[in-house]
Amino acid sequence: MLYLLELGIQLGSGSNQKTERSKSIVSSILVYYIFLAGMFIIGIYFLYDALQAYNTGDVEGAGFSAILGIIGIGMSIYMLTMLRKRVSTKKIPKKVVTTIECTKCSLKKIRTFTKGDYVLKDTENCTKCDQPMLITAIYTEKTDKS
Amino acid sequence: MIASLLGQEGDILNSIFQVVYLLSFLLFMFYGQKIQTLTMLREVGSAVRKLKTLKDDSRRLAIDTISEFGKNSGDPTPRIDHLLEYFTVMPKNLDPLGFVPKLEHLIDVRDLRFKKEIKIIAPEADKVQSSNIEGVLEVALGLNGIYKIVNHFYLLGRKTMNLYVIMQVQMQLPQIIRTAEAYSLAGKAFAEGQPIGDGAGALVAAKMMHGSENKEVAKNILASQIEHEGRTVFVIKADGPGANIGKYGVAIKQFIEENDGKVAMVIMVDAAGKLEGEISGSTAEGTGSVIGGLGVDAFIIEEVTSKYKIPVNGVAIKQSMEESVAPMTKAIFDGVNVAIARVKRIIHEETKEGDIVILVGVGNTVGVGQ
Ligand SMILES: [Zn+2]
Repeated sequence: MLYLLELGIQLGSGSNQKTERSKSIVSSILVYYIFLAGMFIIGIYFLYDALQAYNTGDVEGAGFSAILGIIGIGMSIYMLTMLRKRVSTKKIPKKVVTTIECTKCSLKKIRTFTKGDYVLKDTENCTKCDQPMLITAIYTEKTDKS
Repeated sequence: MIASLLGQEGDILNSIFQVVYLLSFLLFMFYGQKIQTLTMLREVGSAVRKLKTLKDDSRRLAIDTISEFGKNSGDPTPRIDHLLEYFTVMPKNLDPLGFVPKLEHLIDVRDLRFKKEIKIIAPEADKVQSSNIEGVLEVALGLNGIYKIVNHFYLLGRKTMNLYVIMQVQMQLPQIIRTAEAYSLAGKAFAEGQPIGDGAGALVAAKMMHGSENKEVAKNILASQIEHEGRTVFVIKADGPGANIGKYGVAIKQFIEENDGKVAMVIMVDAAGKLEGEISGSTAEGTGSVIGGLGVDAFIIEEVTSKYKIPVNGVAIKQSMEESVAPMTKAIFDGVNVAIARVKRIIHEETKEGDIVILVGVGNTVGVGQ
């Protein structure tokens, strides 16, 4: 239900000129959902019916009902997943690092990127020999989560 | 008595349900397409919302970046909004003779117009920052365009409820979303001044020319003359670390003509699109002018090199479309070092001492100095 509400809001927002269309789309999707729910329930009923028929010894009837039930449940679930299919909105968090190297003693430091850094820029002095260090690399580090 | 009644009711219920079932199958048969249309419309709708977010974010980013450098010139928002609707009409190719100069002229005029606009809205930005602002604006412009087109098909689809109208855009959605996400990443990289994957070629040139004198030889193009194993190598790249791509073609033509065509070889290094399955950051060698864009530079280079019969070798650093505009990855960065080794090997094998070689590092040089 919450999902439907969210859907209504999403479809309703945007431009004003299309609210009428949005309503009709929301209502047709609502009808579709009800229809799927009905199909699912009937599917369950047929399964139940199959069980009962089996208990009374009517194997042929049980098989028929079971097939109907499985088709009903399967189809409603399939249609539901089709409707819920969405464009994936994955976000890849990436950390940009700057490698600085001393041209004299090849001391190497890696720190996070700060604005103003660029490759082959002379930067802060080396802690060892007090010479300006050079930015040799700027790249994104692969984070564990991707 | 009760049991038989229940049994009878059960039978009736059973029959009703079976009829309902049959009807529902008929419904699917006749309304299947409509259901499919609705499904697709929803998918496109959610993509439109995502594109809108990306577009709005990039616009916000442009405004924020520009405001930083134009505190005294008022609110830049209306001007930026105008720029986001900027259009370019390609020259007509009905008569293809002379198309390239027309295209070149068009690009020049557009470029100049953007630079002037940036001067007005961000007067305090220096050369590097102006170039980066230009990059951010181009990204916002691109995302705005993508959003508008997808939204157009979405609204048209809703209006007509025509499966084929919606299908046109739905089929391309994965690619469109990937492009838009990559653009969005590029916007952030430009705003921060981080090197992007496309800058791999420029980085090769930068590393080769580092430490030697350079001068501007064409618009946004720097060149250094270095000695390598007895060869004179002219290294060319765009003027970094701003988000620049220069006129490589003009620079190469100039060099070749200055030396009366006595150039042993032109080597071009550029980021190149990889196919799925190829490793990003891997390098490949080939022949021909390895340069993207609209083709103006490639045209000039091909013309001048074929006139003087100068071989053009290319080294490509493979990457996906997303990687080429997103901040440079470690793999591509490592690929740059491999590319340098390859360039040196090609020079060693294909030329002899005393030869003149032109090495061109193609690509957006944002975040790459020299
Ligand atoms: Zn040191």
